[in-house]
Amino acid sequence: MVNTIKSEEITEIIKQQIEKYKPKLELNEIGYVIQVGDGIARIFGLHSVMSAELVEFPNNVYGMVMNLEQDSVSCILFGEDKLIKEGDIVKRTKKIIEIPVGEQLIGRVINPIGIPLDNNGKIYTDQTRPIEVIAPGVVERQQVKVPLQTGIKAIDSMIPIGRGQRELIIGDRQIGKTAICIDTIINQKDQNVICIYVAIGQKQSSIAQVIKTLRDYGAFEYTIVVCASASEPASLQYIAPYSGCTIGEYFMWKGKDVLCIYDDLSKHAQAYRQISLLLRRPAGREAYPGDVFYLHSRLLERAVKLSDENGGGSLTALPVIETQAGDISAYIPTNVISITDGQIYLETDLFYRGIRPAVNPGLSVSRVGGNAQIKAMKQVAGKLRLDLAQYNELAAFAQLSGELDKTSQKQLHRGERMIEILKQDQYCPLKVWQQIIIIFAGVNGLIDDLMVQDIKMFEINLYKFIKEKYPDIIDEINKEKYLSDDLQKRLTEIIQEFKKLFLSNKKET
Amino acid sequence: MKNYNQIRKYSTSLFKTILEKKINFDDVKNQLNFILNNLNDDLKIILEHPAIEIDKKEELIKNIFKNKIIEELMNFIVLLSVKKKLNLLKDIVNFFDQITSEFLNIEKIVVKSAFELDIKQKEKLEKMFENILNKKTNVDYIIDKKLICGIMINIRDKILENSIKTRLTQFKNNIIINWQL
Repeated sequence: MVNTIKSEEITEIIKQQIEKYKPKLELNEIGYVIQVGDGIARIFGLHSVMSAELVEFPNNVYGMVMNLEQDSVSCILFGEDKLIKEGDIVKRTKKIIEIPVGEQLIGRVINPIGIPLDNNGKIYTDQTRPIEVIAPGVVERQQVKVPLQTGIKAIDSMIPIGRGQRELIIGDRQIGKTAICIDTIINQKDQNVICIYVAIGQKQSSIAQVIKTLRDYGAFEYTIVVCASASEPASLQYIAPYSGCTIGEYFMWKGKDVLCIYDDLSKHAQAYRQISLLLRRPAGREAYPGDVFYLHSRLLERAVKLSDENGGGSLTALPVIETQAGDISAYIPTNVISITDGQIYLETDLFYRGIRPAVNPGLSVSRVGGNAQIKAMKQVAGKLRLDLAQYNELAAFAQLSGELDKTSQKQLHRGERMIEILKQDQYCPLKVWQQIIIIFAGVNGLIDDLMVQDIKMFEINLYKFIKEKYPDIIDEINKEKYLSDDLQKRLTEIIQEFKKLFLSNKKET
Repeated sequence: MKNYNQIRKYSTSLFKTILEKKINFDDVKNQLNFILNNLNDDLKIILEHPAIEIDKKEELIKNIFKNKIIEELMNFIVLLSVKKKLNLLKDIVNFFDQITSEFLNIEKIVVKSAFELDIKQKEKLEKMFENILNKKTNVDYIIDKKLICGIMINIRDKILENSIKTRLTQFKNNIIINWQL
């Protein structure tokens, strides 16, 4: 239903406001623009301005104070610098830069200062929050203990992510970093998690693609997209992740779980480098300024699992970093690796060998996620990691020597099937029970006698089979979250029963 | 004021010289304004031309301003022409004005109004300023029709607005905010 407002109503409201309006004398502190260009303005005056304060230029352009110097103040502009000229008056607002927050933002696409970019009208919120806040302290937190399911087998089993964790997704361009993020968002359906996707310095076309995918999979009902594309000024790209985090914190302090994806922080560092160089701050390694570590650490420190007294909400951060030719020892990647609680390392080689998601289990870790994993998953996944590590070692060796002993051959055989199990299509996140069952089948050698190319078909049909014939197994896994000996025995029987069916069906066709 | 630091340095040096030689500030100010009025673009081009020797430039300046300005200012202009900073002269004069006012404990105030204020109003304003600031004041009156009606007072980095223009903008913002709520 479309809400229509009669013109008399509007007149009435305006009339009321005119009656209520009281003029007040305005005393403003002002400064004058000395220099403007490249999205930076230098201002003379504004003697008592605060750092990171919002200042108002003519023509509705706003800026944020970055440098406080002896005679002048430098600030970054959030609008067009062409509208400002030398000598213009700049007014203080006496507010640290803040953005509107609230439930109304859900399902919207906004820019980093809260202006909607979709065609769904204005966003009316009654609350704002400053974008730069100090992260909650130790007292306000508790340990990460609830899992955040990505729905991706390779990640949920080997590199589990907990709510309140910061897990870096790192890899070269075009090998599925964003795909993992999108899958994770799609998998949060009905999980009571608010997702925030912050796009920094990306092409508008790829952002549009992401938004479309999220809409198609019904994920937009619980998602907010904060968009600072490559065409946006560096100032907006710089504040984008902080804005996204601020919106997330609003929900977190209300006791909700939030997932925040910063895609990607290498572009963010570049935007900040541009600003810093224009502000004439001294350049350091790779021309990044000295505080580029603090830039990311203060952002990622804001990912927390709050204690129960504080509502128990959480903010999980998934920062993305793009490497150049797999070099994880560059400046920004090492910084962010050391800040986060683990990383998911994607490898080009694996990607082109058809192993997708191209997660390298050797270099990927999750430092706190293990606590958050459910017991059943721990039971099956512990062996998986070991099997894979042994396989990788052997596979490298097997290329050199022709003949192998029986145990080694068996290990190779098992490894190939494990790798096959961990392959997964895009936009097909799996439920926890599905992951547990297939990994259980793999590590216990129940699919060793299947051909590698049949495994995918087997997997899909196994899920269907169990869902139709043994739904009680699903309930039990979901409820108990533990594979008792009894359950393991039953599961083995069911899988073997289905295997017989599968193999006989295959023979017929 | 792109070259704020240069402007500051030149005008402070000029101020210090004038102070040391104990020359009357008002005379200097008048003479500086005189130079500013007579220094047209053609003259600037000649004075900053790299092919013309410094001696010739000096001679030219002396011929033009002889007996009209003091020697220190003459030297200052020559220096500016050698350093190719004549285009900064206007800003230097303004800054010099600021420094002297500060030194003499005079506050410079700009009053903008939509209509010309009468003498009584001006006197009243100036008296009020002196009472509040406890200083001598030097008030510039500017007429700005854009204000529609009312007054805008600018003291140092503070601005006091009470005009129809600001009230209308306030009013507009007020309606927008209330409408959103």
